[in-house]
Amino acid sequence: MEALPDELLVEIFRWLRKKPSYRCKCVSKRWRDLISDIWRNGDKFKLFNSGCFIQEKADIEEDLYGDTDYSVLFFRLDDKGEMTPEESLDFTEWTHSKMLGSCNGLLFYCLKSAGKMQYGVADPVTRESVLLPLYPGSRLASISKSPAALGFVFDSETGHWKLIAVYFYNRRNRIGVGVMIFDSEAGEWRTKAARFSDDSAPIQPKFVPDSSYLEASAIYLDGALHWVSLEYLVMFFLETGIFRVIRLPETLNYYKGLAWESEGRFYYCQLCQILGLCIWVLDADSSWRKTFCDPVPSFLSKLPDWFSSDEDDEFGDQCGQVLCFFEELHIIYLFLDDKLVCYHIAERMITPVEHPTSLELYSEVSSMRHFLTEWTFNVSNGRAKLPDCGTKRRLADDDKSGKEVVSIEMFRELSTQLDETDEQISQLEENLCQREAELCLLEKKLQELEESLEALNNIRSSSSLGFTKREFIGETQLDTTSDRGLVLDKMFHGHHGGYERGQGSGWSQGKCSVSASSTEMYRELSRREADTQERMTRWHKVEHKFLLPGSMILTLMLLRECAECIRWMNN
Amino acid sequence: MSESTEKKMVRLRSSDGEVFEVEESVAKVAKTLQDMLEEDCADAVIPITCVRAPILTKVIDYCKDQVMISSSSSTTNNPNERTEQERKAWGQKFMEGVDSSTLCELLVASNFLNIEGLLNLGVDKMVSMIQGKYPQEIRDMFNVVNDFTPEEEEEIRNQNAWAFERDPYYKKRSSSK
Repeated sequence: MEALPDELLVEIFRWLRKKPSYRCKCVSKRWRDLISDIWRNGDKFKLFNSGCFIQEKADIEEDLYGDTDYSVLFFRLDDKGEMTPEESLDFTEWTHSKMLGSCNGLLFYCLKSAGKMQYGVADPVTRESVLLPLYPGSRLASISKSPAALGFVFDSETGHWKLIAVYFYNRRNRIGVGVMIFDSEAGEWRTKAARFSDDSAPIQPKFVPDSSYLEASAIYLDGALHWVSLEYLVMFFLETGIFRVIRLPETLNYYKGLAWESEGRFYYCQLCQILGLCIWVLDADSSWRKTFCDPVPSFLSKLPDWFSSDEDDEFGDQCGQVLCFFEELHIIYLFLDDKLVCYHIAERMITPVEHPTSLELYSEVSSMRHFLTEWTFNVSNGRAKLPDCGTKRRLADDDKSGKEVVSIEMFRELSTQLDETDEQISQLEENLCQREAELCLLEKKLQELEESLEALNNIRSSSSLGFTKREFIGETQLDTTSDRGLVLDKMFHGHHGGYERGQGSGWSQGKCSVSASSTEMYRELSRREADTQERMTRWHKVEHKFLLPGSMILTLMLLRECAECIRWMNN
Repeated sequence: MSESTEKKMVRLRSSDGEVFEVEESVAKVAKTLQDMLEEDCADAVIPITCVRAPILTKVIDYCKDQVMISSSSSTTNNPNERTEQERKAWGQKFMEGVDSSTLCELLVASNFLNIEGLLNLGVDKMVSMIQGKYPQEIRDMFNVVNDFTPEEEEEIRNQNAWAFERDPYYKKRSSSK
């Protein structure tokens, strides 16, 4: 690294962001001197020199005081004009603030709470912010809650800046005007006497200041702030306190045009339904000169396929806002039909802008398009300093992305847990189903067994007919069931002989009929026995597989007893 | 067609004496060499005094690739043409595994030979290596001698204390990848 010539080191340092370059300053004396030189010469920090922010009303609903929350998105513009979200500028302070504009590296915002407005200035690089003092009991502040126009003036020699707030109010059918100026050097607000110039008198009665237009950034040029408002250009000469209003170039739509300063001249650009995309320059004699025009047919022919227009030769209703001019590349960002496109002035070419993900908001807020305000900020002419008034506060990182990451991680974890639980539940459910089925089977079997027991008892009680039965079986049936008949017979003889003898005479009367039914019963019982045997072997298998609940175990025990009994009978 | 069959060769000698023979078109990617060749001193071996052989190999690799792209880009629909993404990916791959000292030498070489694309790649790589590191880490990485007294260093640190705090943005980024 020591071997690298200065020019190469400078080339590397120029590409560093602020923070790493502060760290690099600490590496060695040579590095410190080189970096200091870069800063002293006002060389741009390439990655940080151009960007834009897009502000939208977060909510259409206004609160009690007519305020809304705004959401602001910062983008970095690279050397090809592509926008990438600039996350290093996401601070929590913006949550309840409205971004007003930028001035040589400082960001101005407005903190609205409970109807009160307080201006704040932030240096995103040092991550410090200062809230400006409130207006000193200003009469103006009570007239209008928010100023109609704001502007910033930066003195590159002293590094100080002024914030100019302009109020318009109705005074006997004429527009009155009040101006408050905050000077960063003095650290306080001052009122400035202001009046309309004589030559703007004819326009003045017709002039309706529209704060949604005027609140956008002012262009500071030749000692005057320039605002664009509807059909008018409003100029405020800082020294004399004179307002001048002149008409904007004749166009036939009221879509917001865009003004910018380039090489000491004031430019105005508008997408007009009749003329196409036009750029005018303001000449010294306050007249407009058209310097660029891309007529409608030629402009339309370049539009990408997605551009929907009802008629081919006209723009749709909801298109045509000029958002931003990027001087380094001579490109204009246009908001066309809810999409952001890039117009290359030199090539007269339209390219779609790759939508950074967060910009997808657009399609959903198309009806709020006119709330979009946009500024570019750069630090090319030296950096502005924070004023020495009030206490400096640290800008807090907007943890939103961090939280998102965390929540996504948590979400993932939870969802895997959920998946596992789901699986477990479905397994359990399956088990339950199986067990229920088992239980059903068991109950059925129990019933059958009970029935067969009953049948056995019946047979036992009618065992006096045993011999008849035996003869019957011996004569007619010598199939598999006959064995069991014999077994049963034997059992009855062995165990219940006395009983049979006692009951013998009574039963003999119904000999024939009982004999027939008992044969049937024997057959049935034998069949059931076989069935049960088969089921029992199946059940022994099942028993090994599943741990059965208590009631089932009882049933099973009962069954097993029955089986024992049957097995014993078989022997 | 006849041009391509007899490609003009140029010989380059690195600082450690190794001689590389490359096609003229490849050498011409380097503006410095292009100027020399146009002034017609092509027969002799061109000494590249400040570039060692391994570095020169890498540089020639880069130039060859550039020639491959540009020669085929004249025809439409050629498979070698790269999109912006592919170009970036290629650049990253080219710089992959290049250590800090090689990177410095590459920067010097591309600066001397005036190869803008390679210089940009190198600067990008260097910036990415510096970003998110503390001064001592940077010193270690690039063998820079700390010539500040502890008091001096402390002073600079205090002036910009915010820059030495933990870098949530950077951390977030690196951890999310």
